[in-house]
Amino acid sequence: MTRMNAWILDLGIDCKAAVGSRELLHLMAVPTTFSVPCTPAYCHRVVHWQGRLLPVMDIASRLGRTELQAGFIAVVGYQQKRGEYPQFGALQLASPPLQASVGDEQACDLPVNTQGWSKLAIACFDYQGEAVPVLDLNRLFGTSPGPGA
Amino acid sequence: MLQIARTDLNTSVALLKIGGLSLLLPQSEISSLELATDIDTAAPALHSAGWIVYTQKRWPVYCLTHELGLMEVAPAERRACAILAMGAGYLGIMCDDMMIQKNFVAQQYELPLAMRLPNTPILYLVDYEQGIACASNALRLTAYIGQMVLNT
Repeated sequence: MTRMNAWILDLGIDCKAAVGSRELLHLMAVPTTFSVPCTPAYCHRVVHWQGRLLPVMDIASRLGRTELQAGFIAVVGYQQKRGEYPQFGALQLASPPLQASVGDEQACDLPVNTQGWSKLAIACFDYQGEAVPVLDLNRLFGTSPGPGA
Repeated sequence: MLQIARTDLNTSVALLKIGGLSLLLPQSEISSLELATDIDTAAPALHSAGWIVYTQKRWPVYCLTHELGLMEVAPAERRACAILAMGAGYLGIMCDDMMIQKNFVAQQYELPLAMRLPNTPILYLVDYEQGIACASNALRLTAYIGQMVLNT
C-alpha cells in the first residue's frame, strides 16, 4: 500500500490542510510583509523570499473565516505543468507544520462544514479523526481571482 | 506566473505618497503638482474631492486611501494634487507628497496572479526603500477611478 509524506498545516482555528512533503520549502517566523492595494482580502500581502516577491495567502480568510494573525509563513513550491520551472507562493500559518505519513486507506471526503474546500483541494485524508484537505497549490496561486474576490 | 521580470525601470518616475502607499507613475504623465489648498471643494463631481484649475479649465480631483479606495473628504495630510494627463484632458490625484526620480532603477516584479483582480490599476511592484511601491499609469488609474465612481 502506497504511503506518502505530507506536511499538515495549521491555518487557524479548526482549519487544517496538507501539502506534499516536497511542496513545503521554507518556514519563516513572522517575516515582514507588505500590503498591496486592490487585491483580494485573503491575499493582500507579499513577502520577499530569495529575490522574489511572493503572494501571502490566508486560506482561513478565503474560506470565509476570521482573518488569521499569522505567526508563521510557509513558502510552497508547485509546477503548473510537469517538467516546468517551479513557481512559488506563501501560506499563513498559526503554528509550525507537522509531518505525517499518509496512506491510501485514509482517503475521505472533504469537510462538510466548509463548501469552499472543493475549489482549493485536490484530495482529502483522515488524520486522527479529522478530515484534512490536500491543497491544490497550482489552483491557489496559478489562477487569478474572479471579480467578486 | 509571478516571478521577477529582471528589467530595470531606467526611466523618470513620479512617486506619490498616499498614506502608507507609494504609488509609482511615469513622470511624463504628470503635468503639474498643485497645492491642495487650490482645490475648489464646492459642488464636487460625483465621489470626487473637488475641482482644480489647470490650463484655464476645471478638472475633477480624486482623493484616494492607501488601499486606493475613494474618499470624498481629503484628510489633512493630502497636501498636494498631482495633475495627470489623460488624453485631451486632466485629472487630479491628491497625495501627501510627490517625488520625481530621474533614471529610477529598481527591481521590478509582476503582480502575482493570485492577487490580480480584473480591475486592478496596479501594473507591477518594485522594491522601494525598505518596502515596495505599486506601479500604475494614467490610463489604468483613471479607468479604475472611473469604475469606482460608477460602482460606489
